[in-house]
Amino acid sequence: MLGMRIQSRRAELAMLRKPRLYDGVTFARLCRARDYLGDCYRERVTLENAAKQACLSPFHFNRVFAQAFGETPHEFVTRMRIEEAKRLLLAENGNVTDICFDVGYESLGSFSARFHSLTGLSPSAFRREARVAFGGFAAHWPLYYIPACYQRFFLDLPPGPSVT
Amino acid sequence: MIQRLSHATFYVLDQDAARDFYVNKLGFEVRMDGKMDNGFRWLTVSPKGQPDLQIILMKVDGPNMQPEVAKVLKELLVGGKLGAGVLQTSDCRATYEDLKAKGVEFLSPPKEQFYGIEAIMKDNSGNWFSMTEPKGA
Repeated sequence: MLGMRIQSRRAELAMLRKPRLYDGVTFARLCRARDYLGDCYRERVTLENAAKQACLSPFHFNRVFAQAFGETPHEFVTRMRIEEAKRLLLAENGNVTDICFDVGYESLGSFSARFHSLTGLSPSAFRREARVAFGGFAAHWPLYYIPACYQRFFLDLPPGPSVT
Repeated sequence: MIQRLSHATFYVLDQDAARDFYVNKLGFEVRMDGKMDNGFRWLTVSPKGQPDLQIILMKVDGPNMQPEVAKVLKELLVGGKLGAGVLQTSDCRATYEDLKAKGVEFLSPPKEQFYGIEAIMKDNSGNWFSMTEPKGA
């Protein structure tokens, strides 16, 4: 029974993520809502407010947003927050708690758990490992984002740390 | 098994001009824009509907690029010899009118094809693209 429920949920999620090209008007509305989420991700944002930007009901908005962009509004906001947190951890010296609040989380525990689930490391470990891997920072922080093949070709750097 | 393409490179003549073209004309969004000490600029953009694909707008004559190689690349770009890919839209004709009004250069207007409606456009470095409305979109 549980197996069937999991399978049906998986099928539902797969349908939700099936990329779809929406007509120009709908896509423009969704983009407006996405821009709103992108501008406000540091604050408390609700699905209802984002859906209003797209003139859609929250449930419908959640579904079509995922189909148009490949991620739900919540996943989009989380990605923006975690990406910004990574940039702050790499490029600046602020402490983890300040960064957590700066990017819109209200609890250090939720921030750390989310960060860990998406990067495999705690925020402090991420900063420590990146600094060890890429040398003296903060000017070199973009290196974290540049794949090793490009580093090798354009920057004359050996590829990043390897796992054998 | 390889499952996705996450990064692809478009060579461009000028990164500022390319950023302006892809963001302000095509409506893409900047994913990363960082500069290194040696002048290397890591500039990536994505179409809004595909945030997991980063298109690297790479300068043809950036650091570590031999001048003779850069010269050849530049000639290929300017000569319109580099086909960069296919962009998808849900309405090729409307997007064509919209982009044309913004000054985007088209080599061919929208035409019916067996797979959809297709126009051919160029970016401001010389990369050309097929812009397609797939059948059933």
